[in-house]
Amino acid sequence: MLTLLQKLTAVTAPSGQEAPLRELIVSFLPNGYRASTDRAGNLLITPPEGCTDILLATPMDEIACLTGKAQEDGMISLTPTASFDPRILPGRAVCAGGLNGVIGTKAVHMQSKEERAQSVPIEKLYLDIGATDKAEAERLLPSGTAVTFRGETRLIGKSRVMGRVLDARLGIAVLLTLLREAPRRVSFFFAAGNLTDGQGATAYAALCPAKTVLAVEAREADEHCKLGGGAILPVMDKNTVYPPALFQKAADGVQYGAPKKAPLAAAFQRGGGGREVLTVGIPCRYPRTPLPVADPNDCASAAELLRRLTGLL
Amino acid sequence: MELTSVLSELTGAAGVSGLERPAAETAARLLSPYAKQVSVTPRGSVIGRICEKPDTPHLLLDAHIDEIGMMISRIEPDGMLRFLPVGGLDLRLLCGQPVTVHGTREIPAVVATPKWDGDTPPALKEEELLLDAGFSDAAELTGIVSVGDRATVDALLLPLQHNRVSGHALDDRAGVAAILYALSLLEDEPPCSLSVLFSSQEEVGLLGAQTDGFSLQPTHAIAVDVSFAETPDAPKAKCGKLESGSMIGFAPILDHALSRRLQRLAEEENIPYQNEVMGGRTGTNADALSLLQGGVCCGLISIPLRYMHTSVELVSLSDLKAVGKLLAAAIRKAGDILC
Repeated sequence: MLTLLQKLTAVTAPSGQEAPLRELIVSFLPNGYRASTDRAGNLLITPPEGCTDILLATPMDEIACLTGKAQEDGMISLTPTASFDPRILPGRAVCAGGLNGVIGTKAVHMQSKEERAQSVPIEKLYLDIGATDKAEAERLLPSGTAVTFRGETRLIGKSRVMGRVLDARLGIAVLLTLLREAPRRVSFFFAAGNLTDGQGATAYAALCPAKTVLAVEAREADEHCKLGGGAILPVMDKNTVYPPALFQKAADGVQYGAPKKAPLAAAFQRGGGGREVLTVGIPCRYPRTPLPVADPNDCASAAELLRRLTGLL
Repeated sequence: MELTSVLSELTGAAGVSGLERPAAETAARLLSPYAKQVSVTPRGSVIGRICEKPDTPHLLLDAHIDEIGMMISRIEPDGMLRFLPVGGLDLRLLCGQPVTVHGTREIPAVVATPKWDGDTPPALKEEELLLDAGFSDAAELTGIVSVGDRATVDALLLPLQHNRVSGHALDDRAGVAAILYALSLLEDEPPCSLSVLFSSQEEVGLLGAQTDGFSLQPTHAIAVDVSFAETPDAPKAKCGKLESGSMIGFAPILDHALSRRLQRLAEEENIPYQNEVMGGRTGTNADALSLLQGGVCCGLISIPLRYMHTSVELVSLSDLKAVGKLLAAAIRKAGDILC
């Protein structure tokens, strides 16, 4: 599982620019399976028999920024592609258009007492690639270039994994684990633009022939849902309610989760006349930061739960 | 001398104030080709005797070897590591930073980001500072991490455009590298006595310069440190510019004549320089060195650096070279400079 997570986190997939990750996922395709990318950037993998009643879905995209205008001194403004804690940006080395860059802030010695107590708003932060003027900065990094986080994915502690945008790869790791077993009754959906309010899933859900969608995604660990405690089954989510019969089938050996925003499940529940959905969570610390922490055993639990559920459906 | 690889080696070794040994040993190894004698003091400073000439001025070149960092203050029952800042750590930029805890072995960890509710949050507070090293129980850390161990933010030295580089602990390993570069430029034996001090514990009160500088008994000293370079959010009047060369310090505690002579030397030798004016103490080792043994004529040369005390400190190699060249010229012309 560590090797798989290392491979998945080594490629970047900012919302709307998921192509490198799609290519990597397609390299796992079993013989006879078909992969197709739609206009929204989603990747659908179907067994040789074609579309199935059950769809396993997971998001692909990771937190990132886009470059904006450059200043006269060569500093480049940043726009986040998804909402995240602004405290993760300053003091951070990043990649942009194949170049190294840093996001700095003035020295602590120059900050007022009030400034020290506040996080730095994103609009006051700049990407510094070492360019000396506006023209050079804009030539090297045209507006709209993705700025992605750096980071190493590695084992920490006894059995946990800390990894670059790891939360955005846990669900994919689970689905690829199942795809390797070449199940014939399920299709696999990798959603683009999930961090932009489930854009990819919303587009596909209008046409999706599946009757049941099982969404798999990272969920923030807390005092009730712990790392190593197994898959999370949310009792309900914000704007998504799960069908009791389906919920009961899943409710064995899981950690019950508190309601969260669930754009992936919500899109499939509503789109194209609607269908039954369920979310399976994988506990994760520090989601939407550059270096989340998770326990690969929880991915294994989620995979096992999905095997059991798809067998029952 | 290949500056990038020297900087990379120097910044790759940990040296949080009070536990500088890995960085000090690296610096001592890099200094040894130029020195008759090199030692690491019990306080973690590196002393190098380059040249001893009786009846000549004794110049001491100083850069601090320590860096800001973290110290483990408590191991929580759930295996999380509580820590305190060592030196002026900016708490606004710690969330989600990769860290190495220097225990009985090196442990990877990440600074825990508190739950985020979607608003603009305040900066981390000292009581919120926690490292997650992936352990789930304090007992798992027995024999690996202890209270008092240091931790450093992980950052590789990254090349940027225009020979600029970014990394952590460039404050003041850039100063160490500039002194090494100066020594590499010397072809002849200096006309004065010359010592080098890579001093410990600058970030916690200039302690290494005060204590390890004392035994050296220099007549003159030049502290080589970093100073603020322009960024969009910093007051321009307080900042130097990248690629504009050495920042020659002027301050009441510095020897005015020495500062002027360094300025003239830079002009004669066509080495780029800029001035940095401070109204009292300098906040650098010059403050301590000038008081050694009844008083030392002290100068200060700084390398302009962006984003000080972050893990993405940024310097231009051309400024490092300018500082090295100026130091080398000052040594060669010691007879004129050290009056």
